[in-house]
Amino acid sequence: MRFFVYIFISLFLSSCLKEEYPQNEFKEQLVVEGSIRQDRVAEVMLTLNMDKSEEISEETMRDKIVRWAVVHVTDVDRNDTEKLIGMVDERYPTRFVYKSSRIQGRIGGTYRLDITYSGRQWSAETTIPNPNKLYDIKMEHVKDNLYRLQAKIKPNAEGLPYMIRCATSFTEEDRPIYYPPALFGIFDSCEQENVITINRPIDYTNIAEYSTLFLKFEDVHIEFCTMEKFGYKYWSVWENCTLNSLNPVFPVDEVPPTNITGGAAGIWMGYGVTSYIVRPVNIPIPPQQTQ
Amino acid sequence: MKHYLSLFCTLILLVASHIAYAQQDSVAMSVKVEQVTVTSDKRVFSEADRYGNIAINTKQLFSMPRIAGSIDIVRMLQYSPGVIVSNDGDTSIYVRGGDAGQNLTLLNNAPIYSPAHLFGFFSVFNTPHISGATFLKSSMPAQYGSVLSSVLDVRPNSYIPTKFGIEGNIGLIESDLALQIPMGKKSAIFLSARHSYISWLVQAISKIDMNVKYEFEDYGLTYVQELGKVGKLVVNSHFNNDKADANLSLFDTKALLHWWDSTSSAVLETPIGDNLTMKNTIYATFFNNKFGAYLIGNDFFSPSGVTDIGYKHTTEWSINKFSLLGGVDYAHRRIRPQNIMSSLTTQNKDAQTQLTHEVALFASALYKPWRHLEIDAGIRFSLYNIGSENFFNFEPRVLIATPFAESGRVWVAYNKTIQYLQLIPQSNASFATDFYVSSNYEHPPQISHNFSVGYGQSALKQQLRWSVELFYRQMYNVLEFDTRLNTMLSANYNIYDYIYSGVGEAYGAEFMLSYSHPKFDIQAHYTLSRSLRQFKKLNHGKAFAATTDRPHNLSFLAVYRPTKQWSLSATFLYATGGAYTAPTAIEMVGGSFLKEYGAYNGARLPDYHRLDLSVTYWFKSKKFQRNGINISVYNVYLRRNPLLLSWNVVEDEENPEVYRIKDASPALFEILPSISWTFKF
Repeated sequence: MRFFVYIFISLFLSSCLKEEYPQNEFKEQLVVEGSIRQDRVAEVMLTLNMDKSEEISEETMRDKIVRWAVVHVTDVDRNDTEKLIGMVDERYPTRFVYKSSRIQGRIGGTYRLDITYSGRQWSAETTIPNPNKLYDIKMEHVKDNLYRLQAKIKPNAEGLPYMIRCATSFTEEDRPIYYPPALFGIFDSCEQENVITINRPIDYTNIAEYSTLFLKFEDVHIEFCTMEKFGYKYWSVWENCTLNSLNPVFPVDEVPPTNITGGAAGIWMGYGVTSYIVRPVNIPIPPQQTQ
Repeated sequence: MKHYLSLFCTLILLVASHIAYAQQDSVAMSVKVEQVTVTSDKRVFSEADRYGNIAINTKQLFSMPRIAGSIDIVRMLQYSPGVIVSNDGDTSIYVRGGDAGQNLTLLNNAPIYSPAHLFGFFSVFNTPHISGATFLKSSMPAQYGSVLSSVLDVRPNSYIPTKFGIEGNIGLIESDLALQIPMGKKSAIFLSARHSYISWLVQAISKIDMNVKYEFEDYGLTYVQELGKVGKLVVNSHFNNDKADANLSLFDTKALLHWWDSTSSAVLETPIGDNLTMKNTIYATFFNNKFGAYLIGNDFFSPSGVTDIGYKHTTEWSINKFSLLGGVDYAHRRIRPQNIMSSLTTQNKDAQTQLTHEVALFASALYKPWRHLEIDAGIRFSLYNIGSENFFNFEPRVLIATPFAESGRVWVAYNKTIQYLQLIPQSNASFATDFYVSSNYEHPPQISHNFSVGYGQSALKQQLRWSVELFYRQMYNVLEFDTRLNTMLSANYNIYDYIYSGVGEAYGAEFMLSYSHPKFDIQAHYTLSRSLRQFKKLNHGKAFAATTDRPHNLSFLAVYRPTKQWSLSATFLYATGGAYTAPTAIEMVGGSFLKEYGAYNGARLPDYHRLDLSVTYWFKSKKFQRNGINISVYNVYLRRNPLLLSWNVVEDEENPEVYRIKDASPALFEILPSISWTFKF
């Protein structure tokens, strides 16, 4: 009997001890969202993550924007390096962006990103793949003044993943400069000529009135962005995190991977992009290359 | 369509048994009619014939607290030692640190792959239709295989009633009816049916803007035939069906969840002489699950299922101090893992169908060399085939027990168990969207080494009983499934890429105390345990708490019968909150806030506890054998036991320009009163 008493006491104590495996502790980290596409300059947004208990407001978010980093982009093939200039631009989600002026992306080019901030260094490398071509795009009237947008993509030779970014505007003045990923707009390959539905990017700040459909008279700015396989890994986890965080059947507990070496979160990715503007009122309109 | 096939098989078996009976009837022979075993033990749980295992007395379930007017055999297992308390809404049981898919449920020797209805309120068993059950978790006899943690062996009624009987229950959300129909002195039929009208309750508990329809139904048929020297034939068929539809205004989403299980089996038990008994079973089980949704202009549909056809044979032979048992099992399964089809993918419906064969030979011997020593040793050899891949395993099992002084016993048990058919969990809670896959070389069968040592004692003429049992388990190739909904829709999706194999360890102590008195019964169980997992691909390879790791588990059950008419009962459950993965930080990428998650299962849900009360008034009636009104209250003190914890970015209540990340912890049932009428005549 004494044996059982001993066992019981030791088990009880062991279960009361602090768990030995890793617990949840906030660790401040640099978050990188950088991109380069053909015929465009490099763009890099830098922020710091924040503890989940912090409030999220303009003021607190401003404190998390990294404005004093030293950011370089190198065209690896031409051994050409440029220091990016940080500037305020309200059209970007972070309100602050680092941009190159001389180095522009080209298809097949490899580009390295180097960041120095607060005595630490991070780097990443990416290549711009061939873009996809559009076979067809069509608008379908659904109800009232709402339209569904569908497209058919011509696969690229490599069968690489791609992402649809999308933004809307009503006038030339409010034309967007930053296109967030469209809802369900991340695809792991483009080997088949599937018809895909292009959905409006989700807006959590006004979720009650959110619709996947587009409005009459609004310009729909669409980018088809071919990317390396890592881009799919990153953006598919990102999409899942933003969509399913409250889903009990398919729960989320994943952190997006990163291709930034040195311990930062985020992504530095080269995109092969084709851009189009579609306006529902003029259906059908031929796709217009904005390049 | 296949459930009709299953019922058709049952009819064929019925006809075949009649033919067999007709042949036997022409020969004069003495027929030994099996008597219904009536136990004087009023406990719901009593010690089974094997140490540390549990026999469930269904006749005593009628005095237990009811949930929504119904009593349930699987739900009541939560009040037994070693079974971890599961959350509201969880449809499975968790035994000794094991996962939901490591338990096997048998009905008349045939497996049932979906033993519970949605939300776990009800199992698929109509209580009046079953005579009892045995719950095996400590020492697994050699004839049970392909399961890692536990077996719930449910037996349908198999006696020959002397007269026609009707038994039923009419409640607020479901009603059931059971018939016993004698067909002469040597055969009988038992029929049962249950149907729910639960949609209003599901609608009431939905916390989001959603239109939900949900119904379930169960049907059972058992045919019993005494066959003289040939023995007794029990043919059983069971069909359960769940169907849920939901329309969600957000994203214009429609979802469908439909699953059904159809099981038919025939067991022929043949005594040969006084010391030899043979038992032959054939069975067919069809389990199908369909999960589909219409989401933002895209349809996706995810069928999965298992078809299981098998044969079992056991021979038991008693000679002197030995009881020997030997036999063979065979199961052929057609497994269809979850295979998402949508307008975005072009996967072939049957592309991933798996055909498997499992054969097992087993033998065991119970030896009682003297009064205070019992040795039960067995071994099971199994051969498993899927395509060109083969597995061969052996599972030794041994139990050494020393009953002493009529009232006490000490036992030590070791079992090695293997499981080839794997249940893949979609989420932290066991849910109807879970699905089955076969083991293969990439994901070999799960293996568990189970050790236990126990001590039990009774006093006061067995009115007072207590026991303690320590256990330790080392598990290999346990599974975690870590996929994403959007990944599942991709053209290159392969389920096995997201199934991870790792190791697990569980250990603990189970304590039981019970006191039985003519006017009241008290049973208390406490389990102190840990369950850990380690996977190379999860949590940076470091060990983490299993989802079912709940160090403290306490259950308390009391029944008071002041008079013959009144029965009052109370149950209380307490458990440490389950492990889950919580966010630690937030970042802004892609124009959205993104949560960064911390250590895998590194956080805890709030502790679970709940009190249920029940009162039954039994009317005096000469017409009825049982006639009572039951009023019960589930979760009396409105404890919010969250189904899960989610974290969302929400607008601050005071300052609309400020957002915060807050936990949303939906509780399924805050309180649930019910009233029901129970009758039997």
